[in-house]
Amino acid sequence: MRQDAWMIVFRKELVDALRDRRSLLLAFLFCWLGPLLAAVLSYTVPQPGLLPAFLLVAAFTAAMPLAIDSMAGERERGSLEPLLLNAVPPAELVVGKWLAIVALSLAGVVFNLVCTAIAVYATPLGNLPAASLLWMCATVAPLCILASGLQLLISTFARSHKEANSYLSFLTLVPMLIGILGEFFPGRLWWLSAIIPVLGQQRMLSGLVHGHALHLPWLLAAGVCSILGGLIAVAANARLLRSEKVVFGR
Amino acid sequence: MTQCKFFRRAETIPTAMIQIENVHKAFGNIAAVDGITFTAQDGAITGLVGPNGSGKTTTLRLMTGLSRADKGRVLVDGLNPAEQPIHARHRIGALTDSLGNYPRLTAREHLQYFGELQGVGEEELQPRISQLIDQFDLSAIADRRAQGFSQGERMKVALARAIVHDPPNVLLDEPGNGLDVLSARTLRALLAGFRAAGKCVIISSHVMAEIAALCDQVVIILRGRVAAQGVPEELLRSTGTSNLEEAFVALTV
Repeated sequence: MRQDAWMIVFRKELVDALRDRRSLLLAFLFCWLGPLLAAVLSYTVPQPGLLPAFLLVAAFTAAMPLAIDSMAGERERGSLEPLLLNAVPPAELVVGKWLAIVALSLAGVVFNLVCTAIAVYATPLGNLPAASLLWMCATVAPLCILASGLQLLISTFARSHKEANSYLSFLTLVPMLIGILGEFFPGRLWWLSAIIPVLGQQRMLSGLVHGHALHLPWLLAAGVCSILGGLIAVAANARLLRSEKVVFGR
Repeated sequence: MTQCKFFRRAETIPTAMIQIENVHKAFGNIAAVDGITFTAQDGAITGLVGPNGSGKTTTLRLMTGLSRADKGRVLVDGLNPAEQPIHARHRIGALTDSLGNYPRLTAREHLQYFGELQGVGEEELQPRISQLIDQFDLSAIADRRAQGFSQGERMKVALARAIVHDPPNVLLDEPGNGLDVLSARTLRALLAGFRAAGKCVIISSHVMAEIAALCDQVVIILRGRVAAQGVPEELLRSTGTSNLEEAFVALTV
C-alpha cells in the first residue's frame, strides 16, 4: 500500500525541523516572551493586554525557520529540482510542507498558552480561567493555517534563503503591530474587523483576556476566513511551482 | 497504484528510448536550445558534450518535463514528459547538477524519502536500499548525516537516490564535477552497470576525456545546436583528428 505523498513530505519536514535545533530553539524562545513579560509586569501594573500580541506573533514565528527552509532553502541547496522529479504532483508536496509548518505553528501557540497558564497560576497577573485559554487556542488555530500558507508562499517566491528571511520577518510585523495597536483601540467588535485575519483574532483575544465572553459566530466567521485564505495561498503555491523561473531560480 | 509494472521491463515497450526531435527552448531573447535532434538508445550510454552554457542542462530538463519546449517534441519511452510528467518521471532517474542533499538527513534516509515518494512499496524498498548501499559502497556513511559528506559521497548519495525506483532511463548532468580519481572510477563502473542492465543512459559533460572512455554515442552541442553526433570513431573520422578532445576543439573553434 502506497502512502500518500503529502504524508511522506510532512513527516520528513517535521523530522528535518526537529533536527535543526538552533533554529527551533530560537523560534520557540519568542513564544514564551509574552507570558514572561506579563508575569514580570504583574507585580507592578498587571498588563494582560500584552498577551494577545505575543500570542499572535507566536503563530507566525514558531514555524518561520521551517517555512524558509522548506522552499527557499530547498531551492538554494539544489534539492527542489530532485524533489520535483519524483513522480508526485507538486501540489501534494506543497500540502505536505504546509501541514508541517501548520503543525509547528500550532505547537508554538500551544506552548505560548501553556506558559500563559503557568504565569496566571504563579503570579498576580489576573483571572484567566482555563476555559478562556482554550477559547484563545481555538481563536488562533485558524490563523496558524493562514500564516503557514502565506509563509510558504512567500518562501517559494523569494529568490534566496536570505530574501525569504527578510520578507518573513517583515510579515511578522503585521501581527506584532496589530496586536500592540489593537490594545490602544479597545473598540467594539463588528463584522468587518472580525473577518479580517489577524485583526479579528486580536479583537477576540483582547476581549478574552479582559474577561469578556467570546461571540461564537464571530469566532466561526474569522476562522473560516483565515482557513480560506490559507487554502488560497496553498493553491497559489502549487501554481507557482509550475513556473520554470521559480523552480530553477532567477 | 500501477507504477510497479509500469517502470520495470523497458524491453517490452516498443519505443523504449529517449527521442529528442527538433527541440527549441528560449529564455527571453536567448535561444538556449535551438533545434536539437537525437535519439538515445536503451542499453547504451549517450554523451552530451559541449562548453559551458551550450544548452546541455536545458536539454536534460526538457526530458524530465520540469522545463517545457517552445517547439519540437521530447519522448521518453514514447511518453511526452511535458504532457504526462508523472508517468514520464516514473521512468526516469535524474541526477541534477547541484546534487541537492539534505544536510540533516542520513544517506539511508535520502533513499528512504525518495523511494517512498516514487511509490516503491515498503517490502520492496528495504531490500532495494540495502542493495544500493552495497552497490554504491555507501555502508560506511549510510547512517551518517549528509552535513559533512565529501563531493564524491554527495554525488553517490544523490545518484543512488535518483535511481531508487530502478528507472529504465538515467540522466546525469555533469556527474564528474569535482570527483577525485577513485570516485570517478566508481562512477564509470556504475554507469557501465546501468548499460549492462539495458538502461538508456544520458550523461552530460564538458570534459571530453570523461565521455570518450564511456560513451557508445556522443552528441556534441554548440550554442544550442547539434554540431556533430555519432559513435566516437565516426566523429574522429569526420573531423580528421586522432582523439576526441581534438575533435571537440576542431568543432568548437
